[in-house]
Amino acid sequence: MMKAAYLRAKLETLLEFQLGVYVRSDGATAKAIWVGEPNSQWQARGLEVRIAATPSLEVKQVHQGSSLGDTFEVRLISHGKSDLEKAARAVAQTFNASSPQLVPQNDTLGILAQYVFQIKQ
Amino acid sequence: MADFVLKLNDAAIIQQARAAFKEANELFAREALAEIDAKKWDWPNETERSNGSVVGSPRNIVDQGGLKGSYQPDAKPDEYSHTWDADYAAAVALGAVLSDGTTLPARNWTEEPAKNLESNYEQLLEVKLK
Repeated sequence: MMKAAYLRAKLETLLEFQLGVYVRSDGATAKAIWVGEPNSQWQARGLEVRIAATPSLEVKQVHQGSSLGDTFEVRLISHGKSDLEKAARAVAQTFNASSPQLVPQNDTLGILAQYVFQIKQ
Repeated sequence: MADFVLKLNDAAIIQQARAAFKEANELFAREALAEIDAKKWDWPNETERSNGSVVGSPRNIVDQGGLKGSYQPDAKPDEYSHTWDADYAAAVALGAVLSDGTTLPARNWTEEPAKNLESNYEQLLEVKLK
């Protein structure tokens, strides 16, 4: 079974040179990749990656029946300067993922550009 | 001259299959619009809607009706598409992170209707082929 921590490590390596940073309230920075919901006090800059803490179960049709597989939601979020498309392409090419779904940027509503992936086990 | 001839024609079956697919898509649309109206969606806090009412959780996805009203069905001979072209539709369906750090939960009103589509189609086709 794939774990969120394993997926995090793979994504961190894949996007090593594209990841942005979290700026914590004390000014310290960390790579902007997190499993679950990051601390609301942290400010993300550049490309942020969020991985769902728990997978959802997906029924897969197989020969003579079906089986269950874990699917993790991974969200790539652009906070200002980042090459979101390039990162999305890299993730899509590396993982067994469904077609990425784009949430378009909307400055009026404050919506950041982001891609949502469902990465399968 | 042949003594016994059996001719099979798939045209009638295909015609019924297409009619069932059309009806299944119409049912999908009705189910999806009903999902928008359903008070079933979790939301992290209370919100004052444009009519002045304060709503908590669970709630429907109707404020000014923009999302529901943006529905655009499109039917081609072999393809149906269902589009919600409100400029925040994807953010509602997939959830979104906002520039102020707020995270909006995903409320995909097409998820359950999409799960039902195949079985709806099978049932509609079965009735037509009897």
